[in-house]
Amino acid sequence: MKNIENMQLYLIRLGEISLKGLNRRFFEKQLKANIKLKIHPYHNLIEREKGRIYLYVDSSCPEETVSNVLRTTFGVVGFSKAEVCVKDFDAVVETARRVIEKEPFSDGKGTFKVEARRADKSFEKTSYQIEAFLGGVVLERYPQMKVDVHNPDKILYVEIRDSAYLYTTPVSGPSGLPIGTAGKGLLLLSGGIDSPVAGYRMASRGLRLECLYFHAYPYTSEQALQKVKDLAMILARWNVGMTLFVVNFTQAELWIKDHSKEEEHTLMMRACMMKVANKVAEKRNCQVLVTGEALGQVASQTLEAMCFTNSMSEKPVLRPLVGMDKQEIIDTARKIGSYETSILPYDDCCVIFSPKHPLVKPDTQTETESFREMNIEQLLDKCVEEIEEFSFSYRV
Amino acid sequence: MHYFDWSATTPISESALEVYAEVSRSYPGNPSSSHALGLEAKNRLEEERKHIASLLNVSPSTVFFTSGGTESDSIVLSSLLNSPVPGTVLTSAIEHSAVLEFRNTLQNNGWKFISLRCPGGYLAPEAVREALSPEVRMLCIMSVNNVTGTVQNLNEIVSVVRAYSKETGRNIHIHCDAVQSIGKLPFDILLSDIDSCAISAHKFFGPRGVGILYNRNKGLLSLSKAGGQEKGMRGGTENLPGICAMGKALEEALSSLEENYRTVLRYRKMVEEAVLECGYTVLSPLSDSGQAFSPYILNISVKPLPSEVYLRILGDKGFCLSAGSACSTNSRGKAESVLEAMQIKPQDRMSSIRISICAKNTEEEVIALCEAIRQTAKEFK
Repeated sequence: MKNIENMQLYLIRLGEISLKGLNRRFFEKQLKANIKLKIHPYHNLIEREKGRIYLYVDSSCPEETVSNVLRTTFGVVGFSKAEVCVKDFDAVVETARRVIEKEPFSDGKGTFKVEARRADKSFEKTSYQIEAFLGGVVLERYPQMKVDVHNPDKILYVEIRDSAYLYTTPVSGPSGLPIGTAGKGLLLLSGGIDSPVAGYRMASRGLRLECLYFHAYPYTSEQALQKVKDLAMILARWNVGMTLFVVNFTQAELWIKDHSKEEEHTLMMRACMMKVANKVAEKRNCQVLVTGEALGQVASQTLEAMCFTNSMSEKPVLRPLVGMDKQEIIDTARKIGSYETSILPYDDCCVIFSPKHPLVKPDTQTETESFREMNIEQLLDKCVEEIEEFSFSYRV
Repeated sequence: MHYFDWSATTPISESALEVYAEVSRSYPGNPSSSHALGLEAKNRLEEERKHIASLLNVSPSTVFFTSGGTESDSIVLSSLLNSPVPGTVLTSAIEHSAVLEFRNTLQNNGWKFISLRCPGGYLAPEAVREALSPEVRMLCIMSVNNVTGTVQNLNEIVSVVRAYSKETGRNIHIHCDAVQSIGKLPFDILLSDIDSCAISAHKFFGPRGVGILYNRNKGLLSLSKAGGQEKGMRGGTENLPGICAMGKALEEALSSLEENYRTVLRYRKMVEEAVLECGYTVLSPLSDSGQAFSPYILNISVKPLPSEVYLRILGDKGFCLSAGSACSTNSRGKAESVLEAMQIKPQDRMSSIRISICAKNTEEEVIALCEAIRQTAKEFK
């Protein structure tokens, strides 16, 4: 038996992971490792059981820290702070009285139910008896509250296993699959609204991300770079840390401007970005690229343009936002806390590189030829050689 | 760093700083207190009012101390809200946002707010004449535009208004934002026959957060009476050290006004020449155009480079310049709106750079700036 004295218990519910078959342990193990890492340096112990995880954290760790960690850890469907007591009915009742003094019961309003599970069938009361008695305890304390077993506002859970566990309605986690269970991808991060959301979406499926940003100083500002660093930092919470690579893209942009037709500038720039991203991904063992493109959002995101940029990449390009509406993207950006940073007015592309009338329906073969004629490969290699690296902690 | 953004702000002069420190030490009392220290402070305040009034050649009773140009403008414009019957305010379309931002407030209170077009940066007296109507209560016109340095034909504009008033018997208050004039160009408040004018100390090496409202219109009722300081024109404890330091800075600026003007004009011509040589457009009046301009401000277009990119390039070369005006670079498009009102093309507006010069710049610095402009033009075509 682990020493759990002076430790607070949190009960974590798992969703999709618990549906896994033989590889369930792999997902659970990764989730456990992610949580442990994020809560460190606070001492913590984790026990796994089907469909849930019991997390014991040193009681010196603020509740807010644990909550921030769990709310940003993919794989967590919900969590509650739990109270543990000995398997004695009086002790259970006593603990229940304590639990309902706190949120969400403390306001004494609305509807509730008590839900008991008795794994240890030798316990002196049946689940139904526990529910009925504790329901009475709640009503006695909060006479204004009403029982609603179908759609209650609040739930008091009681589990009788090796000990008795009591907890209330869980706080939602982000669901998804634990970071690191789906390989590694390179996210093309701009300072806009979309790419951080694209990163979040893929990370929620367990893809560990690294980010790549194309900086064109003095055409784009230091503030624009800072903004991207801030976004990488926000994603680091979800991604259990983040590495950001910054490519000095000025010479490449100028080369494109001087060596391609104006209407092709954006396409050529995207092609160069794909080339650089492939080289970086190769070096960093990233299996895929991730972009924030949404079909038809701007000229470089038409189907034809995407076909062309796709053809410039050897690695598969994942575009999780491709079918999403802008409003949906904005809603997610707000949810993950990247929106306010994304809308800061520092452009990540200078107007002088944006053609007035960009090509919207490019022909892949023609553009591939234009790209070849630019003869820019050497310059792109140099970009990769001179890349700068920044690391961000997963601390939340 | 070589500073060429003097129209945004100037550092406080050594002697003004000394006065600031000395007054802070010697006059700890609140001028509104009736004890000995309060009275001493009050006397010092009134002494400074007289000093500043004599420098500006106006009566001390018309000098009100404020926190700066923006507040002085605000006191005058917001006073209109005291009027039971709304009327019309005329302004030039190239006023500072301290004035133009009153549009919504006044309109929401039933006022008509008409900003008159200024082709080339000048408000034509005829345009003012045409806009005058029996409803007009106030005209706001800046003497020197902060974005391009155009100097308005104040005398003629004022005489058009006064003639109309004489004809119709209707009084029209004329307010002038003189923030970019005082201490730089000859500006006689009395002779210009305006009713009120806004002055800011930090534009002429005084401290920040201090300014003057000149007002001779006894009917002007301030919205901010508070403790009744400044005869109810501007409540709040007077910034005595700041006010005295401003007096010192003004004295200095006025004593070397002509000499400074000549130096700055010479510098401006040097920069103008370099700019034209590079093929850039000068958005301010050219020195030899015969139009009235302040040599302290030179606005150019560095097309095709956007202003912010040019500022970074010159910043890296060690020069502080600004895009449009420093008051508006954080809120996109405002400096542009002034340039738009001047009917300057969108591409030039996006590439507009304000170089503001001062006699404190050395000739070497100006030469270095010209060289940096030429070099940048070659490097970034």
